[in-house]
Amino acid sequence: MTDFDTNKPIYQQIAEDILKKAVRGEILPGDRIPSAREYASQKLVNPNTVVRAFQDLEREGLVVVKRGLGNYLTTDTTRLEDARFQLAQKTLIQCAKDLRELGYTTKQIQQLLSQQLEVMK
Amino acid sequence: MIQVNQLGKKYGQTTVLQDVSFQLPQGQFLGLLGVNGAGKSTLIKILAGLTPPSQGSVGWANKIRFDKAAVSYMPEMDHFYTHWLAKDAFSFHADFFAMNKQRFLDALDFLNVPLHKQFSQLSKGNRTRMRLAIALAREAQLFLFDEPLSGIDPFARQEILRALAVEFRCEDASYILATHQILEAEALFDRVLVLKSGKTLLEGQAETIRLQWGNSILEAIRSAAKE
Repeated sequence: MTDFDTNKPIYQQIAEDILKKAVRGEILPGDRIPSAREYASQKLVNPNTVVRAFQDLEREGLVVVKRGLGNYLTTDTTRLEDARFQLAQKTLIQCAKDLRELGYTTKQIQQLLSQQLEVMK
Repeated sequence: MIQVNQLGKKYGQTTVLQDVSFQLPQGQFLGLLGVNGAGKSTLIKILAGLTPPSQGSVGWANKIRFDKAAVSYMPEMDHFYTHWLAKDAFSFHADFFAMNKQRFLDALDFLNVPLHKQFSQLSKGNRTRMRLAIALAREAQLFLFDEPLSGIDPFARQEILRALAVEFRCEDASYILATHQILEAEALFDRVLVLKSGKTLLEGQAETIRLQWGNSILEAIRSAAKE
């Protein structure tokens, strides 16, 4: 993978990549997702790493592995919504931490966020 | 599982490998990294059975017997006869080793190697591709690639990596790739062995090393070299 983030495990980035595609609607509930080998070839990553990422997604109920048929995104939209919310939370926590490190108070962080949202409208 | 214990190699008075130990589970891919003269090629030649170690041992488990027939080795240099066509290279190797013809043809096709040109008439990139197709066509338990990316343009490098690490990968075989192209290849490694002046600088699971040093394998090597 030429564009991976060097601070995160690669299997985690692969799982997040699939998840992001799902929440953005690029993959729909029940759609077939690539096999580990197809994905590894596309992104030039180790197939063993992709298998691990897909196993994590399967354990979380986001991907259903049908033996001999392939991997499918779950049709359980509640699960997908949960996963989306978790991703949002992770992003928020990181953002809040970074701002705290810069010395901003809770109130200032709230102000900064709403100002930024206003600018980005 | 391949278990390498305290391997050492001397050529006369010169020590080229010293106390190198690592393991490589079946089905995994090892990146063998280090600058020129670090001992990568020597280690690969010992594993290929071409030169004996001065010290230490190479052990094989899981029913794999150490045997040249079980090891496919792609040397760094162009080692084919200049007049060979792809089919000549194949039949020569098939006289010595178990080969998979379909995998050979598929690899030539995947890598776009011209079939009716003599080896000497091929470009450097295509000579490497033809040698790679032969190495991949071997029915082996351990595949060794010594700098298959050196002198190859970036686009072709990706294609070569894709062929050897994904498309023609046998699930139950183990792979060792010696390369300078760390950043391009690092997402392909299960494990990493970094040599510096014949000694181990870093060894272990690629993911653990990346996390431990908080960055890429390349950065980890730079940081480890400073310590």
